[in-house]
Amino acid sequence: KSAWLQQFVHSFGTEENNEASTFNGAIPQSLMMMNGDLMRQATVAEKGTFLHRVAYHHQWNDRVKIKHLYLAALGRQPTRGEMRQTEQAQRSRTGETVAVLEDVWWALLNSNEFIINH
Amino acid sequence: MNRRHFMKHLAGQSALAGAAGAFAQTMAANAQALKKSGKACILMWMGGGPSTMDIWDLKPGAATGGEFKPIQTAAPGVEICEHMPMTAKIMDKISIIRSMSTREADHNRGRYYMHTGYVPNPNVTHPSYGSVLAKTLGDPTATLPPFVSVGGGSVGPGFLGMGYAPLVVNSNGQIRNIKGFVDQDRLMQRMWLLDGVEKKFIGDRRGGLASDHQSVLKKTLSLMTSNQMEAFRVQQEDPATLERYGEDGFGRGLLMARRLVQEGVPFVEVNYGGWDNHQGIFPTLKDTKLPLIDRGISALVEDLSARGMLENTVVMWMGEFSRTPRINAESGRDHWARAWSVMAGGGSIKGGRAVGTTSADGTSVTSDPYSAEDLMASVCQGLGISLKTTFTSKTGRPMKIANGGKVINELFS
Repeated sequence: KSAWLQQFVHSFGTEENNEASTFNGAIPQSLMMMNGDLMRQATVAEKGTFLHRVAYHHQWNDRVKIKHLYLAALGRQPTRGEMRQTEQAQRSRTGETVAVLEDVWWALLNSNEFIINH
Repeated sequence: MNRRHFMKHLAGQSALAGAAGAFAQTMAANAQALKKSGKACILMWMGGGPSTMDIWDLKPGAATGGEFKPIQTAAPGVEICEHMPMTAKIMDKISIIRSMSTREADHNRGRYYMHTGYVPNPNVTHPSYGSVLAKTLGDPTATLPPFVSVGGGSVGPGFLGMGYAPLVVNSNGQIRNIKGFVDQDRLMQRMWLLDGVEKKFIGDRRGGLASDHQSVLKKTLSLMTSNQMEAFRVQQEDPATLERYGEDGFGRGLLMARRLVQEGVPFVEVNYGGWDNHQGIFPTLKDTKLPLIDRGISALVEDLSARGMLENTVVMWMGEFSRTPRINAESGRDHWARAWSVMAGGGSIKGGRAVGTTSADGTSVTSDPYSAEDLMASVCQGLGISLKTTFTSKTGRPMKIANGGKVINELFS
């Protein structure tokens, strides 16, 4: 994870030469995190990716899949509130389980917790 | 989950934490009024160090005078280069300062110094013009960032924090990564999930960093979905205007600057480099660079004037230094900071002035020399910003807005 995040740090050269992981308020950096190519590649459940392995795991139900995403990104379980939120997301988009997992993964990778704790 | 619902949801979150980077500022009584006044500054940054002796302060009689001749302008007694005829016609609206005398003849140091009013210092990173004016003039609730740099980066915000970093745009109006890779609805869904994760972390952490992130995300999303993004789309202008400014990066950049200022952006820097003419300077200037800036500068000033915007918009033109009066062995000029010119006008700066005098050979200033600090003080004056405004760096030391520079009175009398 560290190595992957470093890619963001390097491809966005800051004037200050700060560690870009100390989130410092730049819109350009935010745009890159949200919309950049690296993020796009990382959040599509294509064959061979971690996300694909989780999304299409035969034995895991949705709750377990979500837990694995949280563990991988943040090193913790989702809270009850977070779990409720993802379940709500899945209910509102029945049949699109994989898409919802992609959305959760995107949210985790864009979160302050992930960025600051790397 | 529609956008409005989500934005309201976010608005209920903890209030914006202080901007990244520690600062405090003391402001004059009219500071709040200043933010809504529509005052703005457009800086034309000529990277490389243009030879101002061949543009604004010609020495036709001197051995070092070069190939160009001066022409009369709309300002009585003020002559500029013959290859700037359109600018000559609007010299009554802008002014030149010919007595700039600075000490940084290195590109990086000169760039830093002219942008900040401070010499590089290992202990402090000073904020750029753009960042300072964005902080002083900008509306913190605005969607568009207060500092935009077109066609290249600028000098950064230093201790004012990355909230005042420039948004860098190319002259086609493209901002890197502005477009998301999922549709709007799905983006909203993602932002809602993200907000859920962030809330927990903000609750756990004491520091402002976690909620800074959230406030920037909100700003970023606003920017991505805003109608005001249209301001960057220069091609929406009518063909006559596009042609008048010039269909080149500089011309388009200036037109974009005007549009951004109309949308309330208080500072736009438009880059046009390639002025480091150590070789073959005269064909370069005559055939390429001067016609281009002549068209662009005059188009911008005429346009701002016609729209009644010039009285609220300071325009500046400068590089990091100028070039030697002496012509070198490769028919070029090298770096020279001891006597050079900048252009400034608009706001309450009076036009038609040529401030200061230089020696017959162009090597030295023969009147009061002016520094980057003095120029910055004058720009602040032109925008109605109090010179008592200070910012506090991370070390806790208060720093005056123009580093103690003195207003160039000849620009205002």
